[in-house]
Amino acid sequence: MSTAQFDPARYKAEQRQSWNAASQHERDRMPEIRLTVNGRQERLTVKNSTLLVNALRDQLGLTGAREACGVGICGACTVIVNRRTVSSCLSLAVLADGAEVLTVEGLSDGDRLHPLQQAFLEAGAFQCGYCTPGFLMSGVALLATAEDPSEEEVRHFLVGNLCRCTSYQEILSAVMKMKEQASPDWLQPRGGLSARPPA
Amino acid sequence: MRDFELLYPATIAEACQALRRHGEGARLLAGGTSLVQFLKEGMYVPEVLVALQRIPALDAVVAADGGLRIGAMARLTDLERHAALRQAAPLLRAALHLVGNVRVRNVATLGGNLCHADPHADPPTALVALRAEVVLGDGAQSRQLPVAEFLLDYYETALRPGELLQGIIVPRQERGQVSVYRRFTAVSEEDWPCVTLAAVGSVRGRAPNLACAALRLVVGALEPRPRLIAGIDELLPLEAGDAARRETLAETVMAQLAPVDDLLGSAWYKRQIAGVLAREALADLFQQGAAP
Ligand SMILES: Cc1cc2nc3c(=O)[nH]c(=O)nc-3n(C[C@H](O)[C@H](O)[C@H](O)COP(=O)(O)OP(=O)(O)OC[C@H]3O[C@@H](n4cnc5c(N)ncnc54)[C@H](O)[C@@H]3O)c2cc1C
Ligand code: FES
Ligand code: FES
Repeated sequence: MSTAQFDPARYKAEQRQSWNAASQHERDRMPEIRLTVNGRQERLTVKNSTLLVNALRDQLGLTGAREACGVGICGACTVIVNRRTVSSCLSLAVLADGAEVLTVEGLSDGDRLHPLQQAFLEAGAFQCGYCTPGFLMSGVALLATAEDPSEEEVRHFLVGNLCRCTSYQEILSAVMKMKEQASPDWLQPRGGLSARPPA
Repeated sequence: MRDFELLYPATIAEACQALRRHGEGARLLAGGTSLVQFLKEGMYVPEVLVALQRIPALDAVVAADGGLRIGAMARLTDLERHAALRQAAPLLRAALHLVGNVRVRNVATLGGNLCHADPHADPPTALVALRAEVVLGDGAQSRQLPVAEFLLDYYETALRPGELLQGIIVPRQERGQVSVYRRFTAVSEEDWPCVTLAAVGSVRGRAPNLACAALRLVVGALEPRPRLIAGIDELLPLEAGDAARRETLAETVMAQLAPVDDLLGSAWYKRQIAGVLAREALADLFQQGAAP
C-alpha cells in the first residue's frame, strides 16, 4: 500500500491534466450531454464510461457527492436524478443527458440552509460529516415524496446510507422531525451554493 | 474502466442485430446497476454497450391472459408502486421491496435483475414460486421459458447469442391464495441475502382448525439457482395444530438444500436458517389464512 498522503489539490490538477491530454480526435468522438444541475443548464463533454459522480466533481466542481464504496452500498454519492435518488458512483454520465440533477449544493438558498440541513445541525446528526450530503439527499427525496412516513418506512428508505460515525439516531430524529414541514417542492433546486472549479 | 462505444437501438430487432454484429464484444445495458459494477472491476470489458433505454414501451406493464406481462425495462421502484401488480402478485411485490436499497431499485430493471443471474437475487425466488415465464426474442422470433429454466448458473442464463429478454409473464395469484416472501441477511440489513424463501399456498378452515391444503415452496441464494422443494404434497393437508408434521416440513426443506460455506455463513448455518424461514413462513401463511 502506498504511504503517500492523498493530496486533493494534486488529484484535481492530475484530473484536469488528463482531460487536457485527451487528443482533439478523442474529444471529437466524446458525446456532449446537456443537463440541468441545481437549476443551471450545463453542457458537458464526457466519455461514455464517465461516471456521473466524476462528471459532477471534476467537471462542475460539485464535490458534495463523493465516491466511497463505489459499489452502491454506502450512499455517500447519492444525488437526485429526475426526482429519484441514485448512486452516482454506478451511473453513467451519458445516461443523464436531458436529466434534472439535484445535488447537496442545490439545497441551500445562498447562506440560508435548507430546512433539513438546519434540522441536521440542530439534532447533531453528523460527526465527521462525510456521509451527510448523501443522507440529506435521501432524506429530502423521501420527505418530498412520501406522505407521513412511519419510522419503519424512514428506516427502510435510509437503509442504503451508511454512517461510519454512527449518527443514526440523530439522523433519524432529524428526518422524522421534518415530516410535517416537508413538501413536494423540496425536489426543486433553491438559490444554491453553486461552487465552480477555478478556471 | 476502459471506454466503450454506446449504441441506442430504437427497436428490439436493431438491438439484436447489434448484438450479433459485435458478438462477444457487446453487452446490453439496462439500468446499469450491476453492469457498471462489473465494468469498474474489469469483470466485463466490452467494446460496445447496447442501451435498451430508447426502445419504446419496453418498460410497460400490461394485463396478459391470466396475469401480467412486465416489460424487461420496468424499474423495480415503479413495479413496487404499481397498483395492478400489487393486486395480482403481492409475493413479487414483497420481494422487490427488499432488493438492495432504494437507489438500486430506482434504477434497476426486472429484466436486468434476471439476466444478471446472481443466485442471491430476490425476485427470481418469488418468480419461480409464482411459475413466471420469460419472453426471449431475437428480433424475428420469440420464445417463452419458465424462469426456473431460464436461470442456469452463476451469471449464466438460457439467453442465446443475439437474444434479449423482452418481458416477464407473471400469473395472477388466485383469490384466497396466501403467500409470503422472507429473506435473511447475515451481515447487515441491506446486504445481499444469505437465504431467500418464497411460499405460495392455500389455507382452509377456520381458526384454530386451519389446514394448509396447497403449498409451493422455493428457496434461493443457497445454490446456483432457486430450488423448488419437492415432496411437500405428501405432507398435505397440513393441520396448523400438527406440530410434528410442521417440523417434518422444515426438515424436508433442509434435507434438499446443498449450500456451500462462504462469507455469508457456513453450509450448516445456512441450512438451519432455511429451516427457520420455512417454519416462520408456514406460521405466516396460517396467520393470513386466519384473517377474515
Ligand atoms: C448495492 C447493491 C445491492 C444489491 N442488492 C440486491 C439484493 O439485495 N437483491 C437483489 O435481488 N439484487 C440486488 N442487487 C442487484 C440488482 O438488483 C441488479 O443490479 C439489478 O436488478 C440489475 O438490473 P439493471 O437494470 O441495473 O441491469 P444491468 O446492470 O444494466 O444489467 C445486468 C446484466 O443483465 C444484462 N441485461 C440487462 N437487461 C437485459 C435484457 N433485457 N436482456 C438480456 N440481458 C440483459 C446486462 O447485459 C448485464 O449483463 C444489488 C445491486 C447493488 C448495486
Ligand atoms: S460511493 Fe456510491 S454508494 Fe458508496
Ligand atoms: S458523520 Fe461521519 S460518516 Fe456519518
